[in-house]
Amino acid sequence: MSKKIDLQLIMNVLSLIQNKEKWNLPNLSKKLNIKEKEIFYVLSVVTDIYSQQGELLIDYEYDDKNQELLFNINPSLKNIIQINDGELFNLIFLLSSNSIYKELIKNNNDVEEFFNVVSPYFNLEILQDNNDGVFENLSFFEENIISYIKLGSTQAAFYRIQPILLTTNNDGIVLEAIDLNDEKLKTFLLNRIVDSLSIEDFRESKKSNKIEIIMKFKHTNEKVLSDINKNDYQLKDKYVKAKFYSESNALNFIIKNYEYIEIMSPQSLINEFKRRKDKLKKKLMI
Amino acid sequence: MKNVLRRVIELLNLLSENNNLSTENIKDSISDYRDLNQQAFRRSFERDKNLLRSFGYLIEYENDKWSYNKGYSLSGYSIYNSIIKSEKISSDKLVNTYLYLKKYLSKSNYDNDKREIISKILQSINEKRRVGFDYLDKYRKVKPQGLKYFDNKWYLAGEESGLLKTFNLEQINNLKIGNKTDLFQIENINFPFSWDKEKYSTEVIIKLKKNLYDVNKNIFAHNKVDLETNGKFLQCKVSTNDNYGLIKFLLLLDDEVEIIKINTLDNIKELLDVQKN
Repeated sequence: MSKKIDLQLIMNVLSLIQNKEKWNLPNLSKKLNIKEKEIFYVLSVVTDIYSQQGELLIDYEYDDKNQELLFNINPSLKNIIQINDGELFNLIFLLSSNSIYKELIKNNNDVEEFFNVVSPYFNLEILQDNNDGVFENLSFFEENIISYIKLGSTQAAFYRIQPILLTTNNDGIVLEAIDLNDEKLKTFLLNRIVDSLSIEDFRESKKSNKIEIIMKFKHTNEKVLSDINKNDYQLKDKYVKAKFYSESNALNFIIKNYEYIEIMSPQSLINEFKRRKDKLKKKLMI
Repeated sequence: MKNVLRRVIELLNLLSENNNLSTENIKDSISDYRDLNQQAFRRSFERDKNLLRSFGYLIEYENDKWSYNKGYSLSGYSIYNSIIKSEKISSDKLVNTYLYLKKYLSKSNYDNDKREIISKILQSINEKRRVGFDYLDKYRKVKPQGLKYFDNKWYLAGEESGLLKTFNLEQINNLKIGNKTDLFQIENINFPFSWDKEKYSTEVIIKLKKNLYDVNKNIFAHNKVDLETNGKFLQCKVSTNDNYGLIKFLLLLDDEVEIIKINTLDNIKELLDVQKN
């Protein structure tokens, strides 16, 4: 898979190559998990930057025959190629979730040393949801079946997925995975995965009639916008036109932020929210 | 994009070797900025600063009234340096393991403001500096002790006026780090929540499927006592002061939750119909 070339990737390349002068190109490509041509692209970005003393920060020669890169690295490069605190914090936080740690340490003992050395720098107290058992049964880069309750929904649905990455966002720890039925990259909140099943147990569930929905609303607090992907909304004054991947996802947003928003359309969501409020009032007899 | 990447690396390079750089110095030192007029330079510099912020590098303007030094400095990467200096792990092994982990664990998708607050708190904890910030309409001065994660939210644990308190990161604004280092000791390992000793105003007994409770419980801050579990179903008593959160929990679960008893309906109706400005 081709990777997006961003600042992080460039820092990763520089962090690695500074450790020795000579690198075998296929080996470097494997370690960095990027294509060889992407390594050359990164090098083209950094090779005409000068140090404060007027010397090149990094220079290299490529031996085509032996597929070897020979680097000449200026000592001042060390000042910029640091893994920043936020990155280390994120890794330690994810590893502090025991089940993730156990899974990763199985394949690489250095993870334990990394965790033991780095974690004391972060005075973290993590009170985790206990879905360890679920995660232990998941394997990266292989087919897995999960039972998942989507945001805004109360029904679990089965997904045939291939996990790719774990990350964090404002809703918690997120598993990025390919939905093998839809052949799309999707995100699953770890604490909403309620079960993982063997492939034999899996019966093809009915395809959900999931349709993207456009909702228009007026907000009274811009904090509500942090719950929507920046590319998925347009804002004019306090009026917002936002895209949600399903009606239940939009409903989840409405309920989470109802005190700060006034829904303008679609009518179906206005009706559904009103129905739920009226029903709750009836249950509470108010 | 190539030019932008090159420029931000030049900026990192410049600021990692120099502290308190004036905007004039920055403009003169980076070739891409040099030929721009003042307005275009400002726009370009702000964009580059934001790009660096999104990757966890903080470029801040130091303006200490007690010091002659004013200008831009770079922060947000002190831990890597400390680890390498400690010689507990070689830089080679640290980077290799880091890259291995990056295959599975991606960078956080927090917004820039949250990322910046976390970076500043980490710096203040490691350098034992006091922090000041606006919190619930009040300015606080806190000696940070650590970070606590609970219910998908981060809390700063710190001492304010001699008392250990927790502060929800979502509510922290305008956080600034104090100038003096090594101001205090870090002694605490566990951080009790400020609300742990609170009395709860609302108690409600509910019945619902256990897995639905588990995936939705983070919607509101509460204490729970299990009363009965019957197969997939759970009957429990929840106590809370977070009536907004309770309402949202009940609205989301809709027909899937049965309300057996509630001790008070004070302000629930008003909260259900409220529209905040």
